Amino acid sequence: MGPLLQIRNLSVEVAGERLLEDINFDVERGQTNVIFGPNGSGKTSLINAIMGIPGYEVVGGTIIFDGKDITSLSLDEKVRLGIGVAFQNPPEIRGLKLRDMLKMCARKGLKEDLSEEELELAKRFNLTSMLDRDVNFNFSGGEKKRSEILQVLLMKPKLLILDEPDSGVDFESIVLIGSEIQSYLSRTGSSAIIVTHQGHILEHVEAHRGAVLMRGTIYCYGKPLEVLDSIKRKGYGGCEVCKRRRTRMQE
Amino acid sequence: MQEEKDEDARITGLDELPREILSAARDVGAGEEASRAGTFLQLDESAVFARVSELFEGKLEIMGMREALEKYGWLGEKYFRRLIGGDGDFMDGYFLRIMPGANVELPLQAIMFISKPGLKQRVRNLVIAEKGANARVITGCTLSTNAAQHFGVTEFFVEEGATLNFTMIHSWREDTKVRPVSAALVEDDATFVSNYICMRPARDLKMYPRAICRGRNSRANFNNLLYVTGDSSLDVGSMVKLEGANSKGEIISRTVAMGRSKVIVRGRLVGDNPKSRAHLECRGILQGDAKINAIPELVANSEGAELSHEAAVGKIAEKEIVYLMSRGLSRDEATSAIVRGFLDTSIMGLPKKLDEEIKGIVETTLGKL
Repeated sequence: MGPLLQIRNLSVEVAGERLLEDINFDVERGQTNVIFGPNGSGKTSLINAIMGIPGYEVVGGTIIFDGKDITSLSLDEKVRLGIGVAFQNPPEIRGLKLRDMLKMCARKGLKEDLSEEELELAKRFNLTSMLDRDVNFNFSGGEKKRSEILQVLLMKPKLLILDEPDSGVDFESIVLIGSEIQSYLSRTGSSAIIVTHQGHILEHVEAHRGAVLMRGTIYCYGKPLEVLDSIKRKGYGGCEVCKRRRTRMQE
Repeated sequence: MQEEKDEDARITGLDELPREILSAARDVGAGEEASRAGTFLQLDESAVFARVSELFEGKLEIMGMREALEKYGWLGEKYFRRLIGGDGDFMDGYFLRIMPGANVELPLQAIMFISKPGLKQRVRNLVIAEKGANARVITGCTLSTNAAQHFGVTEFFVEEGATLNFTMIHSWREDTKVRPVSAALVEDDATFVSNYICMRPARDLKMYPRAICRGRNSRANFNNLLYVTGDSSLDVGSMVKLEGANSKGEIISRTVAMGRSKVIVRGRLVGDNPKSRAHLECRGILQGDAKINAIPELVANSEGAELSHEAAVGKIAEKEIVYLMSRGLSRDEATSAIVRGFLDTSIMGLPKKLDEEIKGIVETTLGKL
């Protein structure tokens, strides 16, 4: 079996503007990849393009998931194949209770109840008291992040895509989110792509490969903690002149 | 001849109704008699059923309007046609009276049904919550025929310290003309909550119920949930007039307009007392060629009156649809989930069991569409 996700020569446009250029990126089965990059480098655009969010037009290249070409599938079709995404800034939906949202994630009818196990998970995420609140409405930053990860875990995906799960959250929430993600990955053998700006989450999640995305294309690949260390020392400016630039993920 | 016919039409229980009428009545909230404090049913021109459940005997009265006017001479002097005049003839209607201090835990229900093609059903209703009474009323208006018209006039008197929560559910056809008119008088320390749910709208529906908060610490809330499709045209407003010291009002409207429907949503708050306060919230989502015209009005006639409003109308936000699709829903399923959430009955202040029931009606109707 090949990698769980293979992205080949992917180029993406939004409203005619090129946002991603010639992206090559693999996620092996059971492994976690990290994408680093400064603000506006195209990290969220890459996630949106992989997921098939309307408006993100693939103008070149292919996305293969679990051996199947999913480049032109719709968002919900991709999700049903086993890709779960946690957004950086999810919208609020008035009138839709978090409890009902979790049922949708767990593929349950609205008249079914959440199982003991599902409720227990919600409790571990400190979200029991939020279950009957409107999704994301008046949620704090930490509550939104915990709610996003909880939703994705209930979907039991083969591939988790997490957009900045550690930005704007307190220390306890990062520990909680990180350990629950790692527990899920270890238990199920699923894979993950984690976009992170500051890398805090890497203290709790074991990552196997890292990549730096800048100006809509991948500058380098490497061991995540080494890449993070280099960014911390030299900043993203250092990536511009780095000799590793454009090295393929071969090691 | 007419009276003889009315006698013939009377029934002794809702289960005697033809199946199609009973089923349509259930869709607008008609519950088992055991789950209600009392039940009234008007079929076409006549009141055919009125009964107070044994548990609540002495706490309330339910009867046809004509019978009530014959029984109580004082109705004409104190209540009937006091808020809404007129001297025209009418085809009965309901009289609901909640006795002083009575706490009626189960809802009372009134069902208005049209089965005769082309009928112009004209009714007058009167609801009195006497001093210190506490009750919930659920009324359903619907039909099983074409080209009908429904004209309902309802007067509410919410007396000192009483609380009345009134929920009206409408389900019409695209050729029905509907003109409900209502007014409520809310006295000292009394609360009137009026909930209106229209799930299958008419060709032409106009209503503009008003509540007059005359008493000190009186309060009136209007909550409207409208789901409008096809070629329907609705003009739905609510008005709260704050006359009493410390009186409060609130109007919340949620409208979903689809197809080629046209909806005017009005809201008018009138602050006459310097110590009055009210808020108006109007939100609408539209799809297709539908049109929503939201008209909020704040009229402050006194320096200290505090009146506010917020209104937002637009199509369903694409980011919300995308968000739900990312949880595995198709675009249609996502749209439907957002509409269901938007028509959230929990704004109506109903007790849990009744809220679940009403939510069920909204779900069922959306499911059938």
